[in-house]
Amino acid sequence: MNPSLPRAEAVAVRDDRIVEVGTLDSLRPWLDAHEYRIDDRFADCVLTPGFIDPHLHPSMAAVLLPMHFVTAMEWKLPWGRVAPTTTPTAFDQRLSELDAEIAPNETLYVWGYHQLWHGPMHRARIDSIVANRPVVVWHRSFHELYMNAKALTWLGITESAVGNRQQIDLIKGHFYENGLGYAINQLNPHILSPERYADGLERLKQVVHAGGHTTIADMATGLFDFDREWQAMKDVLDTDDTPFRTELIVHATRLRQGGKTDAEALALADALVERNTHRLRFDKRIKLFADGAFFSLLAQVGEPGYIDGHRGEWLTPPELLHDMARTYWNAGYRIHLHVTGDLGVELGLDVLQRLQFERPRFNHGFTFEHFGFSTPEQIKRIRALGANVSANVYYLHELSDIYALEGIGYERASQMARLGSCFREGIMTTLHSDFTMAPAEPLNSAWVAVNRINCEGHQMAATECLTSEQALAAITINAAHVIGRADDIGSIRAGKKADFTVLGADPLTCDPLELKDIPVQGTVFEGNVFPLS
Amino acid sequence: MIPVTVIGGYLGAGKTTLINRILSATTTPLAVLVNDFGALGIDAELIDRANASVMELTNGCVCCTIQDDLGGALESIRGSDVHHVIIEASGVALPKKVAQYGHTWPGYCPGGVAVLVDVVHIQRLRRDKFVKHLVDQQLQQADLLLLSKTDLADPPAEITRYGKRTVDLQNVTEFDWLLQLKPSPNPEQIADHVHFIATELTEKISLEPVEVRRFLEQNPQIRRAKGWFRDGNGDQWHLQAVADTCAIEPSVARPTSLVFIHLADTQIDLECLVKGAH
Repeated sequence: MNPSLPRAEAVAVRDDRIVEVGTLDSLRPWLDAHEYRIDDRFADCVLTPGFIDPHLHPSMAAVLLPMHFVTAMEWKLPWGRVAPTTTPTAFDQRLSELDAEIAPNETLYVWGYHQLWHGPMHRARIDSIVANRPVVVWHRSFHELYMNAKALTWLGITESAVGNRQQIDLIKGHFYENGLGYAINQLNPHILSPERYADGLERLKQVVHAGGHTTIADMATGLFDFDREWQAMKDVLDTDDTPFRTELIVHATRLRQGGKTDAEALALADALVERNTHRLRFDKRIKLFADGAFFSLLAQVGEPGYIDGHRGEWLTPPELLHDMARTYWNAGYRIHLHVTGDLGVELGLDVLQRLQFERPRFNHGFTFEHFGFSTPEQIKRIRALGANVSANVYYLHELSDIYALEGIGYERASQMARLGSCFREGIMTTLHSDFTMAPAEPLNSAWVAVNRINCEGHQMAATECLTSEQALAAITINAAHVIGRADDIGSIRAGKKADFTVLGADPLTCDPLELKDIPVQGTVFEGNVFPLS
Repeated sequence: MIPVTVIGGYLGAGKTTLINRILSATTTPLAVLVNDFGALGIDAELIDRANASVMELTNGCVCCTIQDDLGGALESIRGSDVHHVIIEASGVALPKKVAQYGHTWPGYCPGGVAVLVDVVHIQRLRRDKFVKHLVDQQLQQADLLLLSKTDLADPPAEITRYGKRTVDLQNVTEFDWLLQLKPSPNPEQIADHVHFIATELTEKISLEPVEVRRFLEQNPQIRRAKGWFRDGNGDQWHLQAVADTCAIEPSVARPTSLVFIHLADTQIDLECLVKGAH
């Protein structure tokens, strides 16, 4: 990803940094001047710059990963592949197997149930399979769950405690929408317990390594509880055996909690860098929020809106967003703005345009995060105002089919993640997983961006496909630019950190349809090899 | 069961000011769930005990911050001896959605939804490209509209379009009526019953009897209409209309007030009537 030297045969590393890239011959002056050892264990592999995911959520992953996956889709997890479970019988069978596998006094948490594959779920059905331990079955969407009788008793959820409430069906053990909030409240002490959370972060560590990352960015530190998250990250992600660094971008709304003014919140943000360790790093970066969740159809979309006429939502009132953004803009921060719909992008652009008018900045790093829907005209404005784009391209794979039918229609659904246009305009553009929203596999994100094939196998807006080179840049050097670390990571050149991802095939010459299946054989983080079996 | 009243309205509508006024005036032990204490500016002498998320006041009230966990806040006060809960919806929230959350939480029952309207800024907000739909939905979802900043401007005519009861908050000193507010039936939930709503006109404008008559003819969805108005000559009239019969008769002086009763799933455009009036 160094355009001046796109390919090389050898790289010389001293301690944690690259000293020279080229061929063994061209490296000779360095080798003659210093002691060296040639490590050719990757002679048959391809080394790329270490992959960077510039937007995921370790805290959400820490909650989800300790659960048992029983899913209709295949999941590749480091501790085992989760085979698809596609029938009601197979689902029950899997529950029964899990019951036999886990310790007798353990609660069984299952994630991934979906009625289209697994049939109607209810308390009696779970009881008939597992009656002697609490069982909690989460829906794939996370928006509903079911419990067996033992779980209800365990949590003290009784008829008299709950009464006759909407969205809680005790007979079925079903909790959804508002009822789900009640269930989660009762479950929180258990699913957020320090041991379980630490176990979840350990699993995240394995997932991040398996994806081939050497850098990740936690794009909303403080999502649940700042101090608890920070302590757990120090305990788990700041150890010598962690094969990656974590860049922390703090959640701006959390900083204002307790009635703090913007100036007080800024002072708190400024002080965070004093906590930096070798692998955990704050910087002048802040996360702000515009419109609602893409998966929940709460993105703010412009005319003509959603097919059914419902409206998206704002996570921050536009005026407040202006004020918060101004505080950090004037203090020289890089602003990462969560936007999902084109009206969200429009608000971000209006905010940025006003800030540029009031106090012009160059290379300011203002980044549109997620970038679900957009318009071609907005691409020009993003370029003109000097902003970046960090896209969750997996939206296109998972949702473009259903959103074409039931959300906003084919034209706009097929053009979600308008990334070809971004590259044509020269916008600094990267890809992220937003894990746990999408698999934390950069090659999978690259595969979607290059092929734009959705879950039904249809190619959507071929004009917006990236080339393999663009996609590889997106998950390495462009990601480094977007998080403000391009001087140190993201490409293989003299002076940078010795971070590499070791691949079994060349992503630039392989069939683009095979990108997601290239084996990640290991990583090198700051000169240390971390193999993957 | 503790009743839950929701106070909604867009950013800057005056929610915090209102809650502060309610807390100073109330004789009922209330729990108030707010987005932020800081903004409330409670007098230090009123505060009995406080930590980061709960503040107990000397008058028996409790304030809790919501901090993205309304359920947690409701759970923390369930079983305490407050008699009523007031939730301050965030400026970008849909108040009915917040109300439904409160009303379906175990231990609570429905109160009304009051939405604040800043009469100075409402017209601008109803045209703003980012929030026009949101503000419109917030007003539609109200059981009662509370008008703020009426000392600075008159309520614009478009507020009457929503067909909601309105209360001018200026000079209001006690708020028990707000706690007694009941949710109006949701037309969506009772679609299989015939249901009527009322749209009111209370602006100080003059109308001609012939205009009122024509308006009723042009809006057959109006089943009943009644009230008083004044014409351009200053004469007072009393209106009484049921189905096809319409009586407009001279009357004693009364403030202008017209009520139109129509099917809940229909709308009437008062603008047609107000236009041309003085």
